[in-house]
Amino acid sequence: MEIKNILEDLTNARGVSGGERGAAEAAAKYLSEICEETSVDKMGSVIGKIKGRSGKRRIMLEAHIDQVGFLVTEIDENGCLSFGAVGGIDKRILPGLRVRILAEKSVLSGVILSPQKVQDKTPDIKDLKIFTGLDEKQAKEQIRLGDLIVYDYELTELLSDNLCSGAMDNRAGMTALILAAEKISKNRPEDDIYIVFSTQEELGLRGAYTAAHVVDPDLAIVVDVTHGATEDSKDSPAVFELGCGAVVLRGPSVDYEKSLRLIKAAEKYNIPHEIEVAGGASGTTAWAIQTAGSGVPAVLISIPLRYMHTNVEVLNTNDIAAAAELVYRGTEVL
Amino acid sequence: MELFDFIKTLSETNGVSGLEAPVRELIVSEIRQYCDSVKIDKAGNIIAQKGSGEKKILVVCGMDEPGFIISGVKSGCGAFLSFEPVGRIEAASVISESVVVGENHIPGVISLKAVHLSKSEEREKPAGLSELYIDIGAGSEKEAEQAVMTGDYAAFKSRYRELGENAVCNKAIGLRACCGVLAELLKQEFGGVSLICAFTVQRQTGGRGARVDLEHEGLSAAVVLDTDHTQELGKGAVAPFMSGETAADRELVSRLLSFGARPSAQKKDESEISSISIKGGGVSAAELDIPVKNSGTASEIADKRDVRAAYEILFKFIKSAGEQAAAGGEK
Repeated sequence: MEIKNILEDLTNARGVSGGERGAAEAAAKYLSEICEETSVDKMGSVIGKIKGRSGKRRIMLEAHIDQVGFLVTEIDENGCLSFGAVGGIDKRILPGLRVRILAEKSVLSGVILSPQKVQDKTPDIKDLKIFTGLDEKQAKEQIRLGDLIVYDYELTELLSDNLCSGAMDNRAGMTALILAAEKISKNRPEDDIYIVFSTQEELGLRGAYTAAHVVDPDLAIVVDVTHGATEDSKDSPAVFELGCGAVVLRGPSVDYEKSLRLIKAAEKYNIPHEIEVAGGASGTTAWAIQTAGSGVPAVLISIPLRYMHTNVEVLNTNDIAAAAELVYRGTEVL
Repeated sequence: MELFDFIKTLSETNGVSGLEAPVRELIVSEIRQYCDSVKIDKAGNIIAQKGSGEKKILVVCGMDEPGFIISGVKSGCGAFLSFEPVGRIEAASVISESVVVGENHIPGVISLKAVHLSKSEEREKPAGLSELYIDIGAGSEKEAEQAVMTGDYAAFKSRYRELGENAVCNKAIGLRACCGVLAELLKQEFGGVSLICAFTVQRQTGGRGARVDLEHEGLSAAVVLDTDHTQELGKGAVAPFMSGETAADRELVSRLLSFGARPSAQKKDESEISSISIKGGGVSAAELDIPVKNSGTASEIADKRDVRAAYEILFKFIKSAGEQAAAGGEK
């Protein structure tokens, strides 16, 4: 399976937090070709199982499905929409952006109107409107308050194996797990492997809590994105150059011993990697899974991503490959 | 091509001010068969002429678009391209846009560091163009320099969208709609009129293409077709009495109003009517505008009803001028 093709497939399927179904179904299709069983839990998380030789332990490989987006909060007399953010979005990116409105019967195109005068303050989301080209009556017939909205993007190839798209956070992590699961399944694992794509990460890591409860694993390997270095962020702490490999976290968000063992495995198997450090919460589902059930030792592998939570997130395919390889090795050595 | 198909194709073609050739070629190949003569002048304008009536009417519109020019490569973590704007670019709307760089259309994006890495005070202040870079994914300065040269142009990536039944959206859609209207006029037959349509370069950088000689000799009237981002969409085309500090010919404006244009006291921006009326020895000149939204962004919006209205107003105006000539009316 080609990384680019899986990513394109997964990013094109939409799944804003709380409305992950499209992306969940796309991911389930991949899992059902690899796993013996694939199911969906009550929170909408997708769970695939690869049966191990001994099945002594349950290892959960987890990545969140959901992407940031918006929802419709008002339809005005001109058929324009007011909207709110679902997840953390920098309001500076919004003027002029194209969006897709996920209405019940169809997906509609919209454009965020750009205030046409120079302003000394960034307009708030509540002061922006989405132009739909519909009049009030048409808009109210086709769109309901609460309908979800996503950025309008498509996957684009940049130089140096870099790819650009929306929703790379965290379809990149899901892609790494699909690749890892394919390899694990071919090599018949010792332990039972559960691949979990959880919902509502962007709204408080919620799907991961419940999925971890369902699986009740002995160990969790989480794959998410971390910040890729950009021209304006290269001095920020904890940013990583694209192409540096799989980023392994150390700190209280993860199990100390197992993280160290994972880093040593990366060294042993020549998997390109970097170490990230977080003194507190990592902002990832690893944090949630650690305290699910009676407690789960977790490790976190991240893929560097530029412009996170925008419509033009950029990553390097080699980092996804490195993350996939390290997940696979992790199931053997942890 | 049908009018709106042609406008779509025009909007999908790049023609940043100073490098209008792709758009120019497209227009020339569309109109050539309908015209008596099609010339490219030394500035790069297209001057198309049709008919041999005694009334000589000039219709002008710009064919360029706002964009960027690459000013250098900045290396550090990979390599990023610095740029300057070409024409009027809305800085706020550039963030998180996609562009294509150079003649090989190397894809790139412009954005800001992740929201997680900026402070809320930082986000209150709009980012200026000088703080932004184009990311083409180059791994090193060398790779960037192999792909792109300083001075290469970049254009917004074309992403044509239809919104509802009437609105169309793409980079440069407003002026390209104007070009489409002129091409459509050239396909018609007008008795008694010599129609000259000029598609000019560098509208974005100060209406510079319209400053050169555009067959001004013996003109009866000149109309500039342009866009206005302060007018409402879907209500028709607008004829302003003043464009910036320049007064339009009031009688000519009244004629346009009588054919269905909506009046406006003053358009904020300066237009080409001043240079055209000076070059034309005081020829009566007026402007007709197609309303747009998101002007100067990658997602400019125009309304098909307004485009059609602009076409019909100009059609009737030219036709009636020919009929007047045939009836021996005043020049």
